Formats: sequence, C-alpha cells, structure tokens
Amino acid sequence: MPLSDIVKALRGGRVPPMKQIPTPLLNAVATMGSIRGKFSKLSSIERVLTAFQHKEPDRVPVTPLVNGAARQITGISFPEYSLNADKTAEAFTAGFEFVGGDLVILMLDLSVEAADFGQSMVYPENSTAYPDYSEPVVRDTEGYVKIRPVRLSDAPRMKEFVRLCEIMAERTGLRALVSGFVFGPLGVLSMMRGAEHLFKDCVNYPKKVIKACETITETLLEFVQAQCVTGVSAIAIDTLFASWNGLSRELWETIEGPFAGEICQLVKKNGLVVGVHNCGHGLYFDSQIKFMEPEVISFAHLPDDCKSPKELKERYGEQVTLLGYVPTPLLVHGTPQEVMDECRRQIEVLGRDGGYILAPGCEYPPNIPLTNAIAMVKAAERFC
Amino acid sequence: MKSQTDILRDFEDAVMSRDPNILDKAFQKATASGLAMDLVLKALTDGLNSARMKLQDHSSSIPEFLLSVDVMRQGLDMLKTLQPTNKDDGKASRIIIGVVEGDVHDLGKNIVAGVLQACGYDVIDLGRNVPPSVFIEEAKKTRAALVAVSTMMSTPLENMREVVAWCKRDLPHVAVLVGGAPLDEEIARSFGADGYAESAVNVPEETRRVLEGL
Repeated sequence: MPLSDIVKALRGGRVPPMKQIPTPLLNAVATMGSIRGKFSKLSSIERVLTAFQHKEPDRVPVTPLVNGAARQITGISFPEYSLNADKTAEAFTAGFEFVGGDLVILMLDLSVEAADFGQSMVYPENSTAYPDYSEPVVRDTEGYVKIRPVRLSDAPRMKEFVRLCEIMAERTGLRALVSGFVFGPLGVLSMMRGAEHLFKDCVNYPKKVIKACETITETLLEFVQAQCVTGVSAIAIDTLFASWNGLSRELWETIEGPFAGEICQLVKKNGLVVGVHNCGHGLYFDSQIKFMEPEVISFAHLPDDCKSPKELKERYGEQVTLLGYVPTPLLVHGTPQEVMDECRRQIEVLGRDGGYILAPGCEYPPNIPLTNAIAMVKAAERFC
Repeated sequence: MKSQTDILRDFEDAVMSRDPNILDKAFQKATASGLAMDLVLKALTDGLNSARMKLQDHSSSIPEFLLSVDVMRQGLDMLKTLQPTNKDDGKASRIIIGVVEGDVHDLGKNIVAGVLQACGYDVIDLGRNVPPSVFIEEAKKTRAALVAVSTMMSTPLENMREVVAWCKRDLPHVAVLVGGAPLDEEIARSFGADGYAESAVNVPEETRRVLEGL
C-alpha cells in the first residue's frame, strides 16, 4: 500500500488495512512506539500495533471483551443485542467508553451464522441466544449433504452483523482497532446438529461432515469478505473444536483445518489481521498456526503442549500475539483485587517483549457487574 | 471356543475400541456360555475406566470417549434384558442429573450421566434447561441420594445456586454435586455444594466421596 494511501486513510479517520502496510514501516512505527512508550502514553492503536510487532509498548494493551455485558450500560435486552445492529453498536460503544480498552472484538453470540442456515433459535430476555435443539437443521447424518449455501443477501443476521462492523469501524475511528468475527464451519454445524451428535459423526462419518463444512465455508467466505470491507482491522475466527475437549488433533486437521485456513487466507488477502479465538481446554496452538497462520490467538486455557504460561510464552510468544487469559470463574466470583492480582501475574509472564494483550479467556460474562472488567483495565494501566 | 476370560476381555475391548459389533458377539458368547452377569458388568466398567484414563492423559478426545460411553450403555441395556433390576431394591444409589435452567449445553452432562450409569448408579437424567424446582421435586419423588447440576454458561449460575440452596433447605440428606465451565472447587464450596466434578474423568471418585460423606 503506498504511503499516500495510508496517510489518506488516517486523515479520513480510518485505520488502513494493517497487513497492507509495508513490514519495514510497521516495524519502524512499532520501534518508535516502543521508545516513545518509555516516556509518554501511546494511543490505543499505537499500543496494539507495537504489541503486534512483538515490541513492548508503554503498557500491555487490554481488551476486557465487555460485549453482551455492555447491554447493562445502555439497558437493551439480549434479543435486541443479538438482532439489532444499531442497538448492539450503542452497547459496544458504551462498553468501550465506559470500561475502556485498546481493542474492540465484535464477538456477538455464536448463533449468527447458524440462524441464517435456517436453525431455529431461542432468544431469551435474560440470556444469550441459543439453538432450539428440538428442531435441528441436521436431524441425521443424511442431513449433512442436504445443507445448501446461503447467499449473504438472504442472510438477515449475517447482514446485520456486517452492518454492526460498519457502524463500529466508523464510530471507533482511530480510537481503537475493531475486529470482526466468524464462527468456524464446525462451530456453525454444531449449532445445527448438536455438539454430541456432531462429535460422534466426525468419527463415524467424517466425509459427510466435511461435505457440510465445505458448503458452510462457501457462505462464510462471502460473510467474511463483506466484513473485510467495512473498515475493521481484523477478523477473529472461532475454532473451538481444535482442542482436547473438541476433536482429536488429527480429526480437526482433517475436517476443519483446511476450511479454517481458506477463510483466513481471504482475511489476509484483504490485508487484515487474522485472529483465532478458542476457549477450549488443551487447544492445539501448533495445528491452528499451521492451518490459519494467525497473528493473534485468544485463549482461555493453556495449549496441550504447554504446562505453564512461561512455557507458552517461550514456545509461541514469537510466532503469535497472545490474547488472554483471565479465567471466567475468577471474573464471576473474584473480587476486583483478586482480578487485578491475576492480571499482574499474567502481565509479568506474558507481557515481556510485547506480543501480548490482556483479556478474559472468553467473553466477559454478560450478566455480572462490570467491576471486574474495570479492574482488568486498571491492572493494565498500573502494571506496566 | 473362547474361554470366559477371553469373552470378558472382548467386553472390555468393545467399550475401549468403541465397537458395538464386538459387544454383540461377546454378548452372544456370554449368553451361550452362561457367563455371570456381574463379571460382564465389571468388564464393561473396566473398559470404560480405561477409556476414561485415555481421556485423562489426552491420548483420546471427547468424541472417542462419547462413543465408548454409547457402547457401555448398549452393554448395560443388554444386561438388563437378562437380569432386570428392581429400581427400588436399594442397591444402587439414585442420582438426579440435569443442566440448570438457562442453559442447553448438555454434552458434559450427558458424558457424566453415562459414566455414572456405567459405575452402577441409578441415574435419572432430567435433560437440559431444568428449573430449580424440578430438581427438588424429582429428588423428593425418586428418593435420590444425590443431585448433580451442570452449566457451561455464567448466566444461569444463580439458578444453580438456587438448586443447591433449596436442596440443602428441603432435602438435607441429599448430596449435591456441581460442575461446568464457570465453576471451580472453591466456587462450588461457596455455593454450599458437597462436591465439584471438574470433568467426567474425576466424577466417579468425587461421587463416591460425596456419597460416603452422607
């Protein structure tokens, strides 16, 4: 990307596609950020960019993932949060402004894609949307081959999500990076079949499941392409099943890996950052890196080949930016002091040499007070 | 002709290797040779325990274990046809299990239910999205020894706390076991639960511990 285009984007209040910026320039900006960060406060974008380039910013960037929980600020219901981009954007903006943070990840709920494939959903007033498993789209193993791709023009929830990306990218401007989101094909399929059946079918009927993943990916590619041109800087893909409590490594690499890789290639082609979100236990960092080549991995538990956060940092810290991993139980039940203590421990181990963003392991629990999210932001500000 | 030891090994293998065909053949041979059913049950249980250990050391994953549980359940059903159990004979502790209201993620609960069933408990599965009052009513009605409550989400935790509190108030002789992603041992204790099942791997030991403490 020519320098003039970068300047033009910045003057227009937009973040240029980061991966289209020449690497020497990115490195120079990050080096400057790292030096300047020792004396003065960086902007959120400078801070995240510096961390992405594996250099130490003024402090560790933080994203408290106050997504559904931000409804509490604007007073909208869960169904409104799931279904109305304008109201969702108000909630995300309020979360960003009220709690703080350096990065906004638009993790809405996991029902967006499946709903547009015809999966009946339940939208409770006081909890996150979920599939009506009494009416699964895929009732038996023959159902996998009956799935048809859905065009974005016929996909109200995905269209609404793309609109959310547009609103948030414009509204956030140069205050922070914004990331879109997509559930991987196996995740979408699990909403249409039920996880237990899907797990067994992956072992017994892998070809049928692969066929379904292929069809779903066709739709996801269009969905992701639409997100890529909204002005967001990154797309996060959720590949939950690449973990010990998902599929075996071999099965994941056979079934979902290639499709997840295809989606990530499209994100890269658009010059955006690829993020992976996986809150499974014993996740397969190496397999996900092999297939998706992400810049960032958001995780809730240690990968299967690391026994400690120190080992994680040593093994993967130079390959990817780590995003995590404050435990959900601590956020739900801990005091702000306990949360801050945990954040400090994580910053000390993972924050060294950049390449780390402090965050919860998964979305901030939507029905709890925001106090512990604020504690996370305070911890990032305090424990440099 | 296979020896009884070989047949019992086949039962164990059927569960370990998740193969219902091996189970069918072993059952036919067991019937023909008049193999004692308690030995068959032990072989099936040994098979599931081996599968559980493989899950624990990460040499297998959840889908394989689920299929082992399925074969185990088929084996238990086969045993019932030969030796129907009297539900009220008082030999097996009765366990009520369910996912608390507000959550429909029942994979973990199903695995735990299967493991408990395999361990010889009389398991009554209430399914998912179960209101707190239903747990209590069912526990009263069936004279359960233990109520096992699960959730994968943080939003229904209040409902889980309610199940524990109501159970402790109305059914003090009934133990409560909780499990799920937003919990840990300390939180389970703060709810007043008698036990915490981190996963299907430790659930038999924890259940035994809790029931022995009654």
